[in-house]
Amino acid sequence: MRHDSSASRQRHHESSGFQSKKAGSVTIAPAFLHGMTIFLAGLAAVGYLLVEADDDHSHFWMFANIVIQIGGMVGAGWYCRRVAKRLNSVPAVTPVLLVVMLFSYVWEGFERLFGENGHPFELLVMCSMKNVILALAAVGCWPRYQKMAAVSSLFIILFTLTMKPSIAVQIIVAIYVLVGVSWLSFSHWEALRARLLETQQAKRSYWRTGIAAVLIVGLLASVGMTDNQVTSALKGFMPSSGGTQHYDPFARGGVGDGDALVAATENIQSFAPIEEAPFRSSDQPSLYDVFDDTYEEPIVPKKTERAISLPMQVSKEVCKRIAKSKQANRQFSTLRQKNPKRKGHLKDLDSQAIFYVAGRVPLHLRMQVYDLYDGDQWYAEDLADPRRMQVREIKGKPWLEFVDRSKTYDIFSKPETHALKIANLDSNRIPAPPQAIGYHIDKLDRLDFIEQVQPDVIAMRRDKVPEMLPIHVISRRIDHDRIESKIDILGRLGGQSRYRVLPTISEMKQIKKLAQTWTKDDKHDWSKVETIVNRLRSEYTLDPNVIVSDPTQSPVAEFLLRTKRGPDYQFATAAAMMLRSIGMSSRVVSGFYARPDRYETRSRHTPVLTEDVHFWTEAYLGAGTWTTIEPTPGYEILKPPPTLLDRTIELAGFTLVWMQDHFVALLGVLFLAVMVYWSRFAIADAWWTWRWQAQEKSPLRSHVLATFDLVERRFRWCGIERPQGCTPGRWINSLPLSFEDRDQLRRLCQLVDWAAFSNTEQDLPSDFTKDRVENCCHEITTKWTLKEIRARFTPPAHQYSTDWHHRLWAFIQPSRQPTIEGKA
Amino acid sequence: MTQAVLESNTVLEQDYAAVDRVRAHLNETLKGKPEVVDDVLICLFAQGHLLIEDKPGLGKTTLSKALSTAIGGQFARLQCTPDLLPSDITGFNIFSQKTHEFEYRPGPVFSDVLLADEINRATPRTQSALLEAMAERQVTVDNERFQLPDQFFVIATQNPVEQHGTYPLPEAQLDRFAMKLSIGYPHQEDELRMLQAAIPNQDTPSKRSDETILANGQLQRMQNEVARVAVAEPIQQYLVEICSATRKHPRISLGVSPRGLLTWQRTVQAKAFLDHRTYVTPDDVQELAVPVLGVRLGVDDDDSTPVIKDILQQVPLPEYTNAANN
Repeated sequence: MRHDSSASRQRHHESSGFQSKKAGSVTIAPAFLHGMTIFLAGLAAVGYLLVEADDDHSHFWMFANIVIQIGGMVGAGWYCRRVAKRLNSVPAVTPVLLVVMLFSYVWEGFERLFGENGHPFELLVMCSMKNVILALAAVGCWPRYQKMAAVSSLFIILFTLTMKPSIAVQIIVAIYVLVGVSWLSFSHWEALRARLLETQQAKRSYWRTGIAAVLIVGLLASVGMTDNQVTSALKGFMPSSGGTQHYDPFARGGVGDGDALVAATENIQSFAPIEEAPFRSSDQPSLYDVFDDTYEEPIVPKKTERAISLPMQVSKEVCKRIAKSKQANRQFSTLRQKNPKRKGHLKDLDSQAIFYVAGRVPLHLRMQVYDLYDGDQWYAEDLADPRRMQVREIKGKPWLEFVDRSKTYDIFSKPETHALKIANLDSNRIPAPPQAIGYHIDKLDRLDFIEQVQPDVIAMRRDKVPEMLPIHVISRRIDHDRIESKIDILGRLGGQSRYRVLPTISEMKQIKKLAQTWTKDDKHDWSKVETIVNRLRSEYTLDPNVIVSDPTQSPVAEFLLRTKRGPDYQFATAAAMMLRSIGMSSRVVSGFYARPDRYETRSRHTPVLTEDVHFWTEAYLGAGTWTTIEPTPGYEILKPPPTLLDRTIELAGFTLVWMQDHFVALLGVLFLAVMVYWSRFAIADAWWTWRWQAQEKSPLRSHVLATFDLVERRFRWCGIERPQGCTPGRWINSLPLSFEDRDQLRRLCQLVDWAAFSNTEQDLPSDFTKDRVENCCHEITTKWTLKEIRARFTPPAHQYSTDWHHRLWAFIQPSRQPTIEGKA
Repeated sequence: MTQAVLESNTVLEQDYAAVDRVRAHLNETLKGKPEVVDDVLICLFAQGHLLIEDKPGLGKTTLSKALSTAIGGQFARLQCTPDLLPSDITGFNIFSQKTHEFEYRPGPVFSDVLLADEINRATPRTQSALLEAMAERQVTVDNERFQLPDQFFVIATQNPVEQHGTYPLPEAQLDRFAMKLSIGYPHQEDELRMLQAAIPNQDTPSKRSDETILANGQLQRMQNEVARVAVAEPIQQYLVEICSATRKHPRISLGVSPRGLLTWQRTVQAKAFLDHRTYVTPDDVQELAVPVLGVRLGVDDDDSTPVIKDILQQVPLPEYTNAANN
């Protein structure tokens, strides 16, 4: 009982935000709690997607994925709230959840079958759980689902933190904790308010919320400080692909069970090109060798190479023969101590690849640079003045970089990293993409391990680059679109004159003339370059079998003027000669070409094989910058990383092409969709009428209620809805009907009242017989068809409103328009 | 068994017929106000009391008189003024010179239908004496208790225009009334009919307005009948929902009390009885919401009707499903 009316009034004002709507016996959670749940689920989903992407997918796709998934959830949530206000009971959501859960497994099957792609087991489980959470959050207007969604989103967040404790994930977790604590307290107070309305003290809850939030954030922060002990402890409880001795080709983070590059952090028995693995000595010359000057001389392999000394802890492992995996995508076949059976059977996984490239392809990798051409032979360029290099530490890792990288032109895109995983490279040169700025080899922080052998080519001071060595290279792309706007940058006069030297052959004049004819319409230097390249690519054919072996002929003239066929070095030579003949500095480069069609989706590597040796041309842009030119058809230059806009345009173009290809089918589907949309009410009517007919044999009360339900639905589909709180009788009274029609419908309303609320003892309503009741139902359903209702009620005036969004809304959801409201 | 059911059905039929006759009679007396007549009868059958808030001369006395004669009871009228004393209502003990003893002279409260005119002009002391009589159906004079008739029915009136020198009934006292009504001016046609009826005609002799319709004890039987009208659980749930909504509504300072809730259910039952039904529908609840809630809600604004309508729109209706079969 309330005594102080003014105080209670105040309390109502305060608590009005908490007010939840009660529909029948079902409580609908307040919108802000529902929104919070959706937010929590969204955070969990973003966290999961970050883990799934593993820095590997492009930002665009991840962003699109996030937008689609969260958008879908928010839309569904909004729809559910709308539906919930009309429903008087909680609908059966469980089958939907089941379908959502199974969907990810089915999809995974498709992906593995057709897409050659897949997820490791733990991610698959989490993915299905994430989908269920999104669905649960969407139906969170009913409190029980809301709580389930919130609790399971916490699980996903923990999983995320365990799998990938990056900065972004930590931020997400922090936000999650804040919102989660508020959600907890709000839902607690909401539940309490519902039970103990009288004793509620709203102000106090904010205090508690704040204190709890600070406490939990502090706790979590301390977890982050202490080397993630808690999170690493959690790891044991998380499903992972490691340690089960079950082979999964898509395993990612476990030990020894998958194809992907994985790192074992203790007691490894095999070795593959990854950095996190501790190193063990082997009789193979390795960059890392055990050097121990405390005791005896270390075991000297037959062949010694320069090596870095490793700390004692790392080197104390005994020398055993260790299995090697030269395939980049098959790393470890680990032996665990607890299972001695597996010991002693270590197989090497050999590979045909010279090395592997992780990162964007196609990629040109320089090995050798040539400057002089005498008509038959290219001569390798000597290093005139080596560029200064320095060691710089970035995030605790040593990077060897060029000091005076010119930044004269604004033609470079953002630097990007490639990782090269050396397998069988029989050279001491480090294959590097053009415009390489820096190199990183784990633990290598001394410049005397490397040397510059040619301009922009560095080599290790060893016989060969060690096997299983990962090398990271930072390089920049030259944006060719931006060169065009800087017409004068081509180093016509820049660079040394030897890059413009032409061989003394008789056909040189013809070649020169050809070059001038081709480029006579071009005003700018760069467009001349492009013209030459384009003509070579379009008019000449790549044919590795055409070999010029007659020493009396000049191969370049033979190729350019006569055969128009040849291998890639002919293209490179021809391009260089033509550029030189119009006065531009150019040179020929040999190296490797990482082909995009070799890209392995599972291991996310591109192997470079022996046949990927390639020649290409470089043109001088001035200021020490050489740009790659690809005159050989079939080879592409890596473009700068596409921006969001580029990708969108590309996607739009792709979509357009696809639509063009499937024009007829698309038109058919569209037509069908429009037809279904237009006749959706007729379809729904047919279905419900059929249901009504099927129920005809049911008890009289049910029959009456089903009849009214059907009639009400038909009215609703025609845009006439019974407002909330309006009884059927009042609603019928409020409709503009003739006396007879109203009388008929009112009789139905009387029957409905009887059917719904009378005592069971009363078999029939007064003044009615069973036949009369059935007749009445039958007459009404046959009379008040959709067509009839539509004919009687003119469409609401605002459908013809000039306001475009009214019209659009009316088009989308004509049934939702409360056209004729009951006079309450 | 069947015989008993049939018998009770016949009795019910008789009662329904009697109700219809009373209703027709009252409608004849108070022309053009069938809904007011219905509400008055609902109050009577629900054993509640009625507060009419209206201007003078609209037929309150006529209606009360007709009602009392129709149910075969005694009519009394009480004109409340500031100098009206409680003993003027309850009666008092007077010293009899003959018997040399105190003799009790019963006041106007000992009647079947009591019209308390302009109740808000009486002092709170007098008002509470009357309200006690209404609630307890008994009066206590000098420690002696006197029982009032079972069908004791009060129609109190208030003048909404003149507030000067009045003692407005406190909200707690208002709760003792079942309903608050206002009669309002009749339509022009009804006024015309009224004028015509006022001239005695040779051909159609005017009905005697003092004929008794209900048999002795019939009203009581009907009241018992009303109390037995079935109220389905969803409807009760609906009533509770509305009541709790009134307690939470930001513009209402005093919600419906449990006593008010009980009264409302009884009036709703009476409404169903009046419509010859043995069950209650949501329509009954909604139609009686304004008169029943209007008297007992403490609304911040003067007019409670929009607030009540707002609540009725907000609270979802009970579901029209076959609850009986489930």
